[in-house]
Amino acid sequence: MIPFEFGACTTQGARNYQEDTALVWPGGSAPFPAAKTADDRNGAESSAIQKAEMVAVLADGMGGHAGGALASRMACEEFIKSMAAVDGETRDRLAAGLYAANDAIAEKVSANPLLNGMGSTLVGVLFSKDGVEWVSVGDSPLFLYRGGEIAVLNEDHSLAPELDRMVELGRMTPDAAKRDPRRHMLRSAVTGEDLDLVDFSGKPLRVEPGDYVILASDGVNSLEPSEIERIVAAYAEDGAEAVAKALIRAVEALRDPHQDNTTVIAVRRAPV
Amino acid sequence: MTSKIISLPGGAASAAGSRGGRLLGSLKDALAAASRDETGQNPMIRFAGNASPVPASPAPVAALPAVIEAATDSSPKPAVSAAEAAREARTPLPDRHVEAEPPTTRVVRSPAKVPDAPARTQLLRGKMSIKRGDFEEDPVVGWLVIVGGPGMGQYRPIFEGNNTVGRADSNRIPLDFGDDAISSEEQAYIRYDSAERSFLFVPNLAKTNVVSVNDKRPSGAIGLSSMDVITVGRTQLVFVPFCGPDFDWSAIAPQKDQ
Repeated sequence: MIPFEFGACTTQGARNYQEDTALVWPGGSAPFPAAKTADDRNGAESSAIQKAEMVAVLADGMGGHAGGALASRMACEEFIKSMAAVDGETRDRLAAGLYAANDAIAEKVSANPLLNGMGSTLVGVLFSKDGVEWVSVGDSPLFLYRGGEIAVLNEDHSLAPELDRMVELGRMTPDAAKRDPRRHMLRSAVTGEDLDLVDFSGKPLRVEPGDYVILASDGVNSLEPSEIERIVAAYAEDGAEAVAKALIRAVEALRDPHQDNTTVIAVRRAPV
Repeated sequence: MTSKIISLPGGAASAAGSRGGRLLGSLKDALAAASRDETGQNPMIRFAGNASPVPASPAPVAALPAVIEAATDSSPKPAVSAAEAAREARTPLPDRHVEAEPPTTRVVRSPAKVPDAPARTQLLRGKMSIKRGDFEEDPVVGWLVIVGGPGMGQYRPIFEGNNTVGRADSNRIPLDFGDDAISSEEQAYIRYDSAERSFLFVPNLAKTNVVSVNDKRPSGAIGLSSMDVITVGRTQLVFVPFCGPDFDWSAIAPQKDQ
């Protein structure tokens, strides 16, 4: 059994609303909201999890007004509810969680057509003795930090990869691609309709001591990958909470007038 | 061409298991060796291949970054870098492939938000490699906003191809706000050509009612630019393009061109 420690933190960025939701289910008891703002007196939520498994889920809502926040919250809650209720293969449980989230949104939208168009990304991760497995829809990145380097585990369902490819082909300048609004358009999202693209882990990822697995909303991409590496490396020794908080502080320090909501959940093996 | 991005190469799963023991230094090496790029398009694969006979000669090991050196010396476990671990973990089994079909075209559900909310997450609807007729509704390419006369503050979408402008509902752009000075049928046409990515305004000279663009009275087709003011009858409309040099629906339905 591998105990995990997590920390979570969030910021609204330049928005006057918060559409991100992050939840952690430590196994057994009820899920609780994971992410607090960096300025919260109590700071980021953190806990060393002693259970055999832990579920972390993060969703970045869209759909304006109440819709986005509602969609991301429902997606997270339904995902965890379903993960907690279903036994069996991890992949089936992750899928069941995702479909439960999608169905819940479909039901809500059909009950209240004004909410039509609301939706959410979802990245759900199961941490167990077998390793780390995930399901992901949308563009909320799931990072692995190891040995000073960051790698993205899940697929990006936004049009950003397409834009980056156009840059490679010389059909677009890197600067134009970076500012292109299509970067934030999604090819797949949890909206209650058919899920167009779903990314599952192929096989469990073993978490080594010193590794961090980080769920984030795409607001974190305001930081360059090298910057994320530097921050995680600098705070890795201080624990998951310090890492989560440092990332959010770094995003806030950019003072980007268009900064999107940003939320991170950092998870590592609890130090023995 | 989009399919490469959307779906993983089908055979990517095969090589992942066999490389656990390979010692890789930099992220580049690891990326190169990663199973996802096993299809061979990535030139870095060869670089990794060159670096692999490390056990035979100690010299290259010394050249590796210190972090990895430490890992190789002190730890019995395979030193799998972040990138390689990521590749391995996301290597899907073939039967788990979600997107085996070429991707299909999507449309933006709320295109009106696109220009003014650049940093906001948005959703493209539909399927990725669609033919023109596969949109659930005609895709919007721009708008006319009524800035003067009856219906001020309202707007009408402009669709791809030819749009008839007139007072009756049967027009593709119906200006049914109560301005009787507009002909009921085909007072003018607005065309969007997705090949040229340009808009044309074409007055219907058979109609006696006057139309003008920026106070000129065209006697034939003229190009429209953003914020041009069109006057039909006593109604003034401002032209707001969505498609154009920066965007066309074909840009997100690239399979069409292949």
